[in-house]
Amino acid sequence: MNCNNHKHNYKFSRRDFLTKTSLGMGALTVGSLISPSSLYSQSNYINNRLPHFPAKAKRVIYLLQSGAPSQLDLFDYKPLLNKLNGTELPDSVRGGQRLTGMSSGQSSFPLAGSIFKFKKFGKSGAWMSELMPYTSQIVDDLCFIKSMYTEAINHDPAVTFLQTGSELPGRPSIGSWISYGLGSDNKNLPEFVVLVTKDKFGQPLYSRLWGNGFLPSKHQGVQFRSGKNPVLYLDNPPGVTADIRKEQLEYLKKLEKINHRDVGDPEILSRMSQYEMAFRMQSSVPEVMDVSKEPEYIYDLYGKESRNPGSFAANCLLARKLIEKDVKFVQLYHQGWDQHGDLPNAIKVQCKDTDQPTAGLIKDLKQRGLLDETLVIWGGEFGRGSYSQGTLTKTNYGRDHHPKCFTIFMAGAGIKKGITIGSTDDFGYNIKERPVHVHDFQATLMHLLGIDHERLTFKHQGRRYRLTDVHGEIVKEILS
Amino acid sequence: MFSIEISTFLGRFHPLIVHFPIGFIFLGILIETYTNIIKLRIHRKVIAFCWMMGLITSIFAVIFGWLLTLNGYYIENQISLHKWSGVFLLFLTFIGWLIKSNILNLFKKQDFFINFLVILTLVIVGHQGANITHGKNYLYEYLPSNINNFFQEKKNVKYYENSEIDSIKIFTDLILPVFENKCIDCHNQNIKSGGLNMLTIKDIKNGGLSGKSIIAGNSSKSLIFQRATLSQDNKKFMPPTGIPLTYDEINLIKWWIDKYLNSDLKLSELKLSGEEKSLLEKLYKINMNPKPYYEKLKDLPKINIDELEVLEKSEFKWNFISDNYELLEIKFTGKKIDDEKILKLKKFSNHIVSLSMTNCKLTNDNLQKISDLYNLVNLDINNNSNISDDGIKFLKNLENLEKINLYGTNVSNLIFENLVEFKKLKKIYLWKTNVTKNEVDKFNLENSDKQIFLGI
Ligand code: HEC
Repeated sequence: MNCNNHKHNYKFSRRDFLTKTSLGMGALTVGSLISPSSLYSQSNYINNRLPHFPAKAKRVIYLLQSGAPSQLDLFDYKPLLNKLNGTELPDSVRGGQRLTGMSSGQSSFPLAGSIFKFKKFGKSGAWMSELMPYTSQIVDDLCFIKSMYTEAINHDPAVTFLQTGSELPGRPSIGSWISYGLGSDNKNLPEFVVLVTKDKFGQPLYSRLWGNGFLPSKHQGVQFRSGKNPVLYLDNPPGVTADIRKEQLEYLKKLEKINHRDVGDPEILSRMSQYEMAFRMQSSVPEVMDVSKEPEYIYDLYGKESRNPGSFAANCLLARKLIEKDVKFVQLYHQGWDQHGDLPNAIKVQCKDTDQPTAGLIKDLKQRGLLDETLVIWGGEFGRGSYSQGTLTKTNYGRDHHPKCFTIFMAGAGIKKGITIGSTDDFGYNIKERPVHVHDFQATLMHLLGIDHERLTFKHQGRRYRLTDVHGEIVKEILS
Repeated sequence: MFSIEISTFLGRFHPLIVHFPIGFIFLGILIETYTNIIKLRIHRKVIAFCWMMGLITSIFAVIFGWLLTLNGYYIENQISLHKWSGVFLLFLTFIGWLIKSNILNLFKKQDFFINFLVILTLVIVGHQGANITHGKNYLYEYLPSNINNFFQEKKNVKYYENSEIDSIKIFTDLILPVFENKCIDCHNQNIKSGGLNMLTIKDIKNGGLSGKSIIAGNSSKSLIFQRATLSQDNKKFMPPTGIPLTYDEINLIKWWIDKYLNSDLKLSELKLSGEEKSLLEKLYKINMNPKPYYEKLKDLPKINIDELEVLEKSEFKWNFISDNYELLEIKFTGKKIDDEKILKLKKFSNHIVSLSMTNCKLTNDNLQKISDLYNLVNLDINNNSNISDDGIKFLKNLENLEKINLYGTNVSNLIFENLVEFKKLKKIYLWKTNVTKNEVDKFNLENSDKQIFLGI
């Protein structure tokens, strides 16, 4: 099949129609007499064959840690905070930085050192806290960026920014852009699949985070759930057999074709392809979701929770299976990192959920030769602050949102192994070296997939949009 | 006759003496022509005297010039034209003197003829001589550049901007070119000045009359390095004539003597510091980052997309690696592969850089059919239990292979013999095969450029 060469055959939308005919109906008739084809010229047709240049990464698994994990208790070791534990955060360090409404009323901002022990691991000597014993074992495969920063200070705008490049809702998610740009490698599964850890609470997640925005709807992320119906409403209703469904779809297709011929709405094509995809998914999804054939040692690798469908561990295992089936973008979400209070206890639970499965996933991809072609990303939407929110005791503290610096790590395709780039000051408050903006991260991600983030655009409401807006510089230091 | 010192001492008067014959002969011709024009009658003996003086000083010029060449500081093929045209000029001057003294009477226009011939030869000889002392480009250097381009001798400098660093050898490709430019003319197997031949590492090590000319790891004690870094006015300075080694060339030779004298290693086998890299980049335009495979496959003919339909019919999915390369990634999507399907790939054999045929009952014999995918870089045939060591042998033509995924196949420790053959192979996936950890460790010790993934 002609995969990355697919023309996006959207004819013309209402808006295109109006712009093309803006000289009035007279111009329309003259114009179409002279050259009927130009009337239908496709404003959103991607001229070039994508990728723009040879890609290092073919697929992405994004382990999004919703709620923002505390980099100060996991990766960004700051002994000075322990030394100055309980003393005030100097104004010179804070520099008038805005705070959330949750801690801006505090009369005091006592510095809170992490109560967790840090150690250097691996040949690369990356600092890790005792909270992540499994990930600590694979640091030589990881690339840490300790100097990420964002503009938003609250969860919704921050996670929307991270996923769509804009704090305002309505833009396409990264996965949708990838699906739009690169198309499908497996016509039986969606290009963009979403897995959310079940029974977790915290900051809300909603489908617009994996939505297609203004891109054709077939590029939206498809959520796979645990349990009997992985994809809602995918199964045939009782009494409808596969044959009946097939026949029905064939008739529908004829009707939609006529409809499209008459109206020319690009969404008709999108809908048709989604019907067909859904039909194919009726057999492909149960197959890929079936983990019963996985051997014991694979479950052991991901941790015992991996037998519990819907857990983060089980989702990691599924992510691997989806990658094996050439799904381009697998987006995981794991809630519960928003630890304003009682951080030391809450973060332990979170790490227990995610540490072993993350390391297991990376090892599993590696032994199958998939890590070479797959980019794995772990991180939240922003960081957490170095002063305690609420009362600081010997064993307990909380941390408020901190957009000025946070840590993420990546592994796999096209990424240097065993390196750390960027650093923060001794208070873990400001970036000292090599700031990496969210748009830079997004530009780099696109680059690894062989996409020039400045060239992948979509015209909407009269202007061309792209994931990185008008920003984004590739973080060359981490490219292998 | 004389010692080299004395002959060189005297020889160095040659540039002084040569101006006498030029002056005398010119003067003779000038007087003759001038008096002819203004129809003044003078005694022919005056002219003959000028020629006689020209002849005598010419003899000295030739003798002293000859003495100068004896010390070996001039490169024979650079001076021979000057040398022999100088001797010829002496001969012409002699004939000229005979004519002017009325001893020889050949034909009517002989006066004009000999004058013309002598002046022509004089210009040639003088120009050749000046080339030797001032350098070939001395005269043309400041001409307007378009004319200058015509005359100026093209320097033949070697650059490696398009070469792979695993094709560049230290001595052969980096050191020898410097020597060839500045030393080899006087130090080769035929002309061994000072007994030294500099064409091979072995000859250089053997040294010349003063014994070893090079000591591994110790540039400052190595005669080659010492003689090239003396003060330029020292008479032992090398090269004695011509352009000295540049600062970068000296650094390069020092680096070579100090670190890598003993074998002609490839550049890709070395760990270089940033400074060393920038030196090589400056001297030879070497690009230290190995080029990705697709850079070398830029000029393939365009693929007609309609033809790719054949592949789809045989359950192959295809992708171009990107917009700007005619290179294909192929993946078999069916459950069972056979020779007939594989042979469909033949048409695109130069274009296929990545091939995946996993979990599709692939056999060793099937592999024989892909042995002509010469540009294949990535081969993934995991989870095919029929594949064994015998199958891997069929792949040995695939010289460009960088990655091979064999997990879940039946290969065994015997595979390592075959793996060494693949020069560019970097990653080998061997999880769930019959390969044992011990053998992998052994292989890793000897083949640091190849990485084996054994899995959990
Ligand atoms: C124009 C000719 C010429 C060139 C060019 C030349 N040499 Fe020499 N070289 C000689 C002569 C003649 C001798 C012997 C007399 C002496 O030792 O000075 C010699 C001797 C030597 C010796 C001493 C050998 C011994 O064992 O005594 C070394 C070392 C040497 N040259 C190195 C070099 C190097 C290095 C270069 C290039 C950078 C070079 N030469 C270029 C003519 C040349």
